[in-house]
Amino acid sequence: MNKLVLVFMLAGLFACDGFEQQGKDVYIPEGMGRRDEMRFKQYMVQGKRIYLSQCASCHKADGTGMHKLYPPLAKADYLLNNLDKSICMVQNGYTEPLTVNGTEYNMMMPEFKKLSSLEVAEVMTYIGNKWGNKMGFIEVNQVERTLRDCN
Amino acid sequence: MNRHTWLLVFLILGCTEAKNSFELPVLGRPKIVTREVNGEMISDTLSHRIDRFSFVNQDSVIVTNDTFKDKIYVADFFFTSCPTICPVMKQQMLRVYDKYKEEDQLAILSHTIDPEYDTVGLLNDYASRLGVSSDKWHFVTGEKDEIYEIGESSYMVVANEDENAPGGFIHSGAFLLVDQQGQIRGVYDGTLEEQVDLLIKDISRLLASTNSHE
Repeated sequence: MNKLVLVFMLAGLFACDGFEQQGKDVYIPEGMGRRDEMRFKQYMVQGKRIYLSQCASCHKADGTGMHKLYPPLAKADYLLNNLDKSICMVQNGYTEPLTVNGTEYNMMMPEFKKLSSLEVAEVMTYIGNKWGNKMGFIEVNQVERTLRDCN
Repeated sequence: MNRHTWLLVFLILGCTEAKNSFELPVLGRPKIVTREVNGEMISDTLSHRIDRFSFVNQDSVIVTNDTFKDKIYVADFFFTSCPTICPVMKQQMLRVYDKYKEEDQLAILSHTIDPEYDTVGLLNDYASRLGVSSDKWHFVTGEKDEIYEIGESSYMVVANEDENAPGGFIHSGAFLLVDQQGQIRGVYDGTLEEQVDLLIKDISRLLASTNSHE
């Protein structure tokens, strides 16, 4: 009986972890220490939660965007080549036309001032390492530095 | 199978049969009007209908009730800079559009509730980016008060400015199914896939019942 309780408690512990529910299209950067890998996974779990509640209605849960209205994030050249600008866009919004994978988009991106630097880092880590994207761990220190220099 | 199982099967079949043949209700509060005919007072019960309206669509064409003469249409309220439910609503409305692309008796009417920002030019760009045709799906703008008024009194949905809401407006995500007489025959949550599945079924049902009456 005690064993059974233990098994359930352990199962509960793993269910809370959540990283296993992230799917197969997640990139785990190589060469991270055990500690960093754990933090990375935490970022991914939190990032997914933020992504689904704040970003997915336009960019879609699978990161493919919506027609010519909202650009994709999955394998999006603009995102992959402009990490700093993308970080600024998430926090401050964006209203200029933008070309992603050869298509021009011009819908405005709303600002997300309510997101903390850590939350921006989490959601950037998520979109940066999901759906075939391989941008690596985008940590809160880096995001804070970048956000200081947005124009 | 024993007797009870057969009974159950018949019951289930019976229910499905009834469901397929029922008529969609006419929604809204009916109005009772009295008029005089040959010196006698006669009361008529008039169903709730969409008021007269006149808006401008993405091609600068004037859209009125007559645009939807002999047609049924699905109406909704949105704004292009809406960061929350509108993209989801548009994705769902696209399903309706794609399903009835070739059906001339169905149209779609999307009202912007932010006419200051959503100009004709912007709505035109929005529609073409969605890849939809303007003779089927009208994106209309007009006098702000008229849009809010028709939203609340005719379509019975909420549409208003609210500086605390994301994007600055508060509005319902409802899709409304309107018949050839301007009567509302169904209200659906445009953010939920299963509700839009139901809308798609109800459109077919309404089209079928119209064609059988002719």
